[in-house]
Amino acid sequence: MDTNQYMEMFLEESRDHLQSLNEHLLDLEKDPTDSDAINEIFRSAHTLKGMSATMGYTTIAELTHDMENVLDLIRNDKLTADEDIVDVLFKCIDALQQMVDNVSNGDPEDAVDVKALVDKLNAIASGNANAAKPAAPVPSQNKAAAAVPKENVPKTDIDLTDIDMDLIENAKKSGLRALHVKIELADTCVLKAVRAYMVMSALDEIGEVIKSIPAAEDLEQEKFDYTFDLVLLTGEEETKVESVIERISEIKNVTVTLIQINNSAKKETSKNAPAPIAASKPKAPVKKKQAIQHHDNLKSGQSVRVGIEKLDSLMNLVGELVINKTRLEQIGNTHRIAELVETVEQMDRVTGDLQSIVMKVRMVPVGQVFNRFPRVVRDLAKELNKEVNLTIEGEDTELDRTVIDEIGDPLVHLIRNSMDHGIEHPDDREAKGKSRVGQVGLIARHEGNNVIIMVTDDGAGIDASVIRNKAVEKNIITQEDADNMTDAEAVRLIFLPGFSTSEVITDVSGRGVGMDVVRTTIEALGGVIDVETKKNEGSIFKIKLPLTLAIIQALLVNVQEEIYAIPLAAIDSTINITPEDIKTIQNKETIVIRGEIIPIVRLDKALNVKHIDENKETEEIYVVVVHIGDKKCGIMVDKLIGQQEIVIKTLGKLLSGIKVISGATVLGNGQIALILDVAILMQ
Amino acid sequence: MDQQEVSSSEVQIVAFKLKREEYGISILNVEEIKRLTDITRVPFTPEFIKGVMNLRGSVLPVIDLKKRIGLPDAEYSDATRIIVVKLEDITVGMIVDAVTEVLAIDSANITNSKQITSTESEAHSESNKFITGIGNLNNRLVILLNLPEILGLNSENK
Repeated sequence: MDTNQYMEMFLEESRDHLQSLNEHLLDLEKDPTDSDAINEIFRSAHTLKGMSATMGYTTIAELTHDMENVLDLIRNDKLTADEDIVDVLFKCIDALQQMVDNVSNGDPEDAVDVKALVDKLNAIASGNANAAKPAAPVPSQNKAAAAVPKENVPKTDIDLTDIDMDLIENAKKSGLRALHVKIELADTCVLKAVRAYMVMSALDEIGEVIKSIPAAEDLEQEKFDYTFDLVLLTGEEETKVESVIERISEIKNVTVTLIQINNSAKKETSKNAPAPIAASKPKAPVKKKQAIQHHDNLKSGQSVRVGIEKLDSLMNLVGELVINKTRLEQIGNTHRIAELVETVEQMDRVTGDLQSIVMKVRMVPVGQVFNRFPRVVRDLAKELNKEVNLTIEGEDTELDRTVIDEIGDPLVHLIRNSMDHGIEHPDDREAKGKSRVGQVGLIARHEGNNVIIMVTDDGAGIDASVIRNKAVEKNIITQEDADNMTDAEAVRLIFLPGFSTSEVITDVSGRGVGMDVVRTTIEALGGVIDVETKKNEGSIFKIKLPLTLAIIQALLVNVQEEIYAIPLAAIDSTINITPEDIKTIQNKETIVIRGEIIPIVRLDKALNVKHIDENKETEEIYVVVVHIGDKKCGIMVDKLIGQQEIVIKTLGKLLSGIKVISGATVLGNGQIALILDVAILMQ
Repeated sequence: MDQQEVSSSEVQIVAFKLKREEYGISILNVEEIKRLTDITRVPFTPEFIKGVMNLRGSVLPVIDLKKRIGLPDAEYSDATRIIVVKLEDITVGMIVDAVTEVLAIDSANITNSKQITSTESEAHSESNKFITGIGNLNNRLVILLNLPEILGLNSENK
């Protein structure tokens, strides 16, 4: 059976369910009587079991099955979700996560040893089940037949799990019957796998094979003797089925028996639980449909999953379109073709809409990333012996998918950092007059063309003097520099590479654990990170990210013969000045705008551009005032060209490492403009 | 590889001129040959990097091959071409004085560059590291270039 084509779906849905398990288990931990939470947990575990069994991942199925037993007891109030049980369940989720990751990486899923977990689950289940009288199901290993009293099992000797039972029952409603087909191949049969395949495909024509013993893969690999068992859902009579199979050669014997299931004997669980999805054979369109419907119930609304690379190429194409549109615009203007200009205006609207839609499609709520943090915080608080309450705000804030993918790790870093070094131990907090429970906040919101993500804590704050000393000690700055620094500047030193050595981690402050890595990642995304801190009141790490990476508004400027693009997001204003307006302070050129003293950067000097024709002293100088955070700076250019939408392209590997240039773009006339990295330019 | 099936010992190279000498690189690395177009200078790059050009919407770095291998500068002419080469995941344009032709050289007629240089020091000299060998085609000598070394993201590129 080829399950590869369903692999992606399986992985994605598994991850969704794992996420849901994590979330609801956290809810349950907070309130063990939360019946919605336990129902959701049960539902997710159940679905996961069905899916993994379908895909042949028996270890996952086994573990989820045993989890279900415990969950069922909790659901029926026969067991209370105390700390121990929740801990075990969390460990199970971790193991499942690991297995799903293994599957995704192409490793064997069963590389994870679940034996200990299974034993624990069984111990929990049986311990309480006994106390709670026989009504509770007896936990069992993989094959759940034991969960159903033997006499109710159909008069066939095939082992059925409750998923199979559910399926059979559902089929019954649509007028199908379940048949147990036992096939014996001739001793002389050489290609057993082929025969098995032929049987399967013959049966597929008259019904649906929902189960095979041994599993389909084993059949394919000839891992069976001369007999195998199938469960077929069909509207056909037994005799018809027999005759279909007998037509295949080298088959010695076929027995077909009807499987009957006694309704009342079925585990109560399946009544509440939704119909299991995609239980046995994803090939069957019927069940695939079920799977989708089920998904819809959870998500509501119709949606399609699309690979990110498809979106990327769509984005690229739209980018090309924008460039071409600009080119047409220019042709129209240069040659004064009114009709063309009109048409291009029309096209402008369409491309604009197209672009914003593509952009929106790529937008994902940041909650996708935030969701994993309650769990992270819980585990970390336990590990550090601290009491921490995490508040999340603005999880609906949307960000480009590429940004979302990258932002997770830096955030984990920041949260760890806040909890490890920011939040004090409960006793210390009490001594300081704070509540024992520390507050960590994860906040996202829009701010113009940016998204702000903040990690806040009400911990000890960062001690600037400790940072200063550390930086001097490590030769990052001189003592003189350190003395001249404001506290805020000193605190920012934690983002410098070299600050993150193991020695620092164990130190008093400890801030700066890999902070340079965090900064690098954020900057690679075109964002900035800053920190505000107050001693004993806590710290705020503020990340500012662009909404999207691919297309930005930029101001084009001229320096010598080159055109440079300055991202509009960084621009404050543009002004004209005369050479007399430039004053020097300690040999640094500055100008005064509305009482504000702003340093000036001559772009040609900053970029080390060779002069092609010697500067005629101009009366008028163009200055673009840019800002990063609170810092402002004036960039002196030869000419302002205008504002334009540009598509960002990388300079490629050969030219990587030019810090001041963050990329390039192709202009409408085919010329290339380099995009300036304002943050670096200002340093 | 196709040409190996034709003749196991034949190497196909694209031959081009730099000054008066003829050079060659394997045809397998050549993507296309373009006329000289606008090249945008990029700051903070080594001198041999001419800048970037627009190759059908993508940004392509261009290097001046003469500068790269230490030959004296010369004006560009009508014959000047940009050979777009690809090595692994790096695509680069190389400016050459003129592209001559595609040659097939029997590998028996290729002399390893180390055999030509008489002294140890010459073998390790700057210009020699860019050369893998000399192809001899009926007394027409073609200097075969070491593409990885030319595109090498080594220290001098930083």
